[in-house]
Amino acid sequence: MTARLHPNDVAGPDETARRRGGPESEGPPLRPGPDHQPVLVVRNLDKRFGEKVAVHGVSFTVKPGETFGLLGPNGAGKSTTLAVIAGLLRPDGGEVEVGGFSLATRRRDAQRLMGVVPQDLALYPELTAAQNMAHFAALRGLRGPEGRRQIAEALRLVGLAEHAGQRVERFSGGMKRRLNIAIGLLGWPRLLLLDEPTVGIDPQSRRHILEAIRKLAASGIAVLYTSHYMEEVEFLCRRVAIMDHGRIIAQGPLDEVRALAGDAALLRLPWDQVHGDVDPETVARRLGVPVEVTGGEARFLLPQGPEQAAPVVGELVRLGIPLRGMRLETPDLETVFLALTGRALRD
Amino acid sequence: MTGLRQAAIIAANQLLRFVLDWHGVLILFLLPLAFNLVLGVSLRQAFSPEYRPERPYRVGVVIPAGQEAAPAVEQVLAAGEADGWVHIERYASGEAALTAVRQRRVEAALVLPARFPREPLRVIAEPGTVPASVVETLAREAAVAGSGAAGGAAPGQPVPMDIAIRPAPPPVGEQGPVGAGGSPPPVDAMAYYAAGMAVMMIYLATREGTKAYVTDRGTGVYLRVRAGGVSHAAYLLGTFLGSMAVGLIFMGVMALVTRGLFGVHWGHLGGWMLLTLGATLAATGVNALLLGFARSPEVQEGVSIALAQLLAFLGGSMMPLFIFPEILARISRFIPNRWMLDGYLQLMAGAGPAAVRDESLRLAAVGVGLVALGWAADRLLARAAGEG
Repeated sequence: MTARLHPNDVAGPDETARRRGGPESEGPPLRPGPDHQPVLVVRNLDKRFGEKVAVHGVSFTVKPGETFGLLGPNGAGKSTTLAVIAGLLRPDGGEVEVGGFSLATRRRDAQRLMGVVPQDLALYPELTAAQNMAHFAALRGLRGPEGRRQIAEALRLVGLAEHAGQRVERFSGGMKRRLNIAIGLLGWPRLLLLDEPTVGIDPQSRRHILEAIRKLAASGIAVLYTSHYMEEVEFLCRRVAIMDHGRIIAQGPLDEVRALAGDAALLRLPWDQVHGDVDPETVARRLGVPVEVTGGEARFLLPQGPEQAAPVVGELVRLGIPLRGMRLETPDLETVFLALTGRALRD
Repeated sequence: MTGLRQAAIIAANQLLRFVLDWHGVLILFLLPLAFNLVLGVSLRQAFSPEYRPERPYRVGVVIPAGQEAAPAVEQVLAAGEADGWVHIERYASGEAALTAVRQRRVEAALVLPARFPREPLRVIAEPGTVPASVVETLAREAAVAGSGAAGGAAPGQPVPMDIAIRPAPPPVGEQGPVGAGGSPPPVDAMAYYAAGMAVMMIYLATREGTKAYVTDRGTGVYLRVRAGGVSHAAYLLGTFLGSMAVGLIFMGVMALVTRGLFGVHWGHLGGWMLLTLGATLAATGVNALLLGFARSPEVQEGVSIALAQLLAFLGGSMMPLFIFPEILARISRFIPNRWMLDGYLQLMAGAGPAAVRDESLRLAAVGVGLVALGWAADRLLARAAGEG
């Protein structure tokens, strides 16, 4: 799939930005730093809600053309981190720079470089896709022919050009998600913040969205992508950070983070009502390995690698648990998360 | 300038969404029109010439002997007494009449000054009470009759009521609309409830903006818009402007539709616009204040409907003001709906903009105050939630 994607496939963002005298053009530049510098710099970010620490000591950078994955279970602090970067929440500590502009002192300039795709559908269902786009474009100061061109290009990029005149309330979940992203592209931002953009959609729409994001990154846009779907992050990102309880517990290139799991392997098997009378905690104690039961599936982390599978399987058989559909997997980000926290990513 | 432009865009978007939501629009307009029809027909008896209170209101009257207008005023009062509305008691001076009102020996008093019509008729009554309304009506008739007899002053002007009222002489040439016979068209049950229902529903019309704001906060639109460089102030300003725009359009459509359907005359256009602006601002203010308490669309909807009904009841939208029990009449003096309704009824009765200036200013002042309070409450809550 990667081989089919090339920066030249993308008709729009930078070309348009250059045409409209945007970031790539001469004149007073909005971004002071050269392109190879990170577009987003987050340093020691802290955010508390009363006594609750939502984000603590979070630091990372995102460069142009890079898709950086922020991975973690629900409540890990991903959305809060994004809301602080977007300028909606006031940080209690640390700093954020976007395109060289500090959020603390040059918030408007920093926000002008950002596009935000919230986790919730930030759309007006009673309006058409084009009306939605036009409203948010107008708020960004995009009007006239340039505004219409950007709206058309963004809709084309997410595959909704033919549905521009259709009311959003008649859209499928996937189409709404795609429109949600298209609105975030207005103004062709240098930094795109995507907060779980594929939640609750069909595989076809998901594939469409993921491919669109890869195209955007290939065109030079820096993308910060939060998700708890590790397969999406593995598909899109070269570098990732894993968050838990408001802190980054692992960060780096994908392969390096994966290696944190060491030799560990993951044993998965369906865990349905048939096993309901067997307590997973008891199983974990007897097996001596971390286990998580979520979504009708049990995941056993095997810290010593696939060799540990045999005694574990033997113990499961002794407990009378059927082993239909059992799979043994090599380390992925989910394994890493389980290894680092002892909990499953999709909690 | 950017903030104002963004606020205008937000307001225009709210207006567009209001218009496109035809289910909501239908309910907003059909409901008051249906109530208008039902109440207007079923309570038309209360507005008919045959309607009388259970007992006549006691009215103290001061008429100097030899005053040129005295016979005409006496005639009007006698007609009111014969009609069963009032029972007249004579007093020698204005002070004596005032004392009688204070001691509740009479419910209201009417004083014909010796220098009438250069000095206006004085009505002494507790403002907002039913007897005050009745005596105000009599005073208006007496002023017309008396000034005609005394050879001065234009007819049809409102007589402001308060303890020791000294209404200004009517502005030269100011005239409300008149009926076929040269007098203002009658304020019948249909007209009363056209105004009553409109001022009840104006709260729900002006809720559109604040409802959209609360919904936006829940859907992520707020995050997206704020992240796009729109300040909290611009967002709220757009919200309130949107509320006002919907409220003004609602009142305009209601006036036109009730005129077309029920033949309601809303009176002087300038006065109507002045009063409607004040009323819309006040209703927007009430909804703005709700932002401090209702932070979800569901809660906001429930609370605003309940509040609109309560204010409508206390303000006279459901039960005619002139048959209000005394306690309700007193309470209603503090209810914006009452000010709105009084204003519209005065306009319908033929008064001009000057007659509703006080109501309009009071409504606008309350509206601005409540908007400021709602703004502050929302800002406080946003800061407490850690917003930048």
